Amino acid sequence: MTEAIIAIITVALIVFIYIGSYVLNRRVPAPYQKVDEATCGACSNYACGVKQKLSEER
Amino acid sequence: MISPTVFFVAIVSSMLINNIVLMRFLGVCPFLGVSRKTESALGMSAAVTFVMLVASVLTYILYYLVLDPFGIEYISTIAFILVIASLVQLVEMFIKRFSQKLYKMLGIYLPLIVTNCAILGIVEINIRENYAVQYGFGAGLAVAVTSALGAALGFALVMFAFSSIRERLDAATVPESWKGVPISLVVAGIMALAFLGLGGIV
Amino acid sequence: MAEKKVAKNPMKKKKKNGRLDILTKGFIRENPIFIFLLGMCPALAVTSTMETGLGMGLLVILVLTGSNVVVSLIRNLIPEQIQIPAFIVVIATFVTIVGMLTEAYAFALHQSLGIFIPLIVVNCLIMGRATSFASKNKVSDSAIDGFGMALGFTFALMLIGATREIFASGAIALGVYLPLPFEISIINTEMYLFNMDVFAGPAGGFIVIGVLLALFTAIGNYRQKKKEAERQAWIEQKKKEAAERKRKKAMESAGDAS
Repeated sequence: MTEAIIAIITVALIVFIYIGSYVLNRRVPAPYQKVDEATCGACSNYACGVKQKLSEER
Repeated sequence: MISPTVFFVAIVSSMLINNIVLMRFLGVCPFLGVSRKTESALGMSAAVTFVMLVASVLTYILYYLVLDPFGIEYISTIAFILVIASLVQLVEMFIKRFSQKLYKMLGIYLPLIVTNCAILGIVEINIRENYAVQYGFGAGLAVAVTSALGAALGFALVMFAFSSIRERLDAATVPESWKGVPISLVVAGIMALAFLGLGGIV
Repeated sequence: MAEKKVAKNPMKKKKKNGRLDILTKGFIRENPIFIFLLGMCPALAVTSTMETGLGMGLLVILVLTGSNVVVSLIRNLIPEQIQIPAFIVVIATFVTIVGMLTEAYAFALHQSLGIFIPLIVVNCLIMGRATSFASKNKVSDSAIDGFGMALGFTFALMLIGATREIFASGAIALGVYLPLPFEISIINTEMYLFNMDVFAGPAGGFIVIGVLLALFTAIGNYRQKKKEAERQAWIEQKKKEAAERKRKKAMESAGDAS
């Protein structure tokens, strides 16, 4: 039982750290550079925020 | 104290013999996706090297100080992917804040790393090799980091070689349906054949 | 009459987004491996035999269907800001569950897939479906989409695996890794006389996928050309009809005037 509780706490802690760092990272503005839009549009990576930002700018 | 040969063997073995891309098939996505230009291949390799080293230290400590003593190894997959993902976020944030130059070099490649199976794969392999049981906690950490370094160097080596080949392939006349990825895969297969010849060195 | 049959409206052939379409699009049209190049790592690593490919495919079917359903269920509860972290947690949970199930009920498969079971987490296919489909659609549609896409992935893995296994050993074995009540080898060929071990190894994996990819690209190109020709023919015919109508009208009006 204690094991399960420790497991849940550990996961919750790491999730919290991840969400915190994710939100913090989103808030820091990126010093923009030239991105090749064709390559970026063809890429299917979900974790990359560049594509989303590009489409927002347009 | 463990002998220096262990480190040498760890580097050579994870760099050349069990090459992360051509033998273990980890990190094939960036291998095919970001290898069109030598410059971007090197940038990607640098980002992978850095994150791989830090991630293997963090996950090793997490595994042997928290997960293993409490007998909750079964959450290691969740824990590791989250550690890697938050590490990438933190590194990206720091680079954005403090070094424009580094961001220009690595910025585009950092987010791609979360989906890169090379990092999670090497972390899992390090845990499965049981370095801590073989060498003790501290020395095991050193060996794990060394083999992670070797894997990253192997990744960089293959990325560099492959991007150089691809730059020439772009100029070659290739049948229409073979253009791009198919011919690159066949080239990668031939490279894998070459690496097969390195087996048995150690 | 015959001309009309050739030049039918290609726009009308476009299917609506029905359930069946969602289910079957993963096979050829939007095949994750051959068209989108997603999940190349497992496609290379676990396809030295057809059966391991099939096993990996089954695991991906479980994970993708499950994660799509859950993501679709919670899609309105999660703020947009932290969508991706939430999805990662959901997927990692499913992968852990599936890994435990495999260890319990299919140990041989668990051993042969090795680290590629935890690596399902970073398979771009699963996260891609979660963000691009499940987070925007109903639960039932998301479940069908996940199942169909994973089925296409399985099909691709089995195709690659079968090709490699036939070249490497001349036959396809079943029942070695999966917990089946029988152990047989199907499709025995005389190829074992010249079996090429290299196809079971890494080099063979790269080369086989390269060749299959080229094949799929060639088929795709052929289809596109055919479609383009059809469209051209249709446009041509419409133009002709319009011209005809115009001429008729002009003649009619000319007739009226006179």
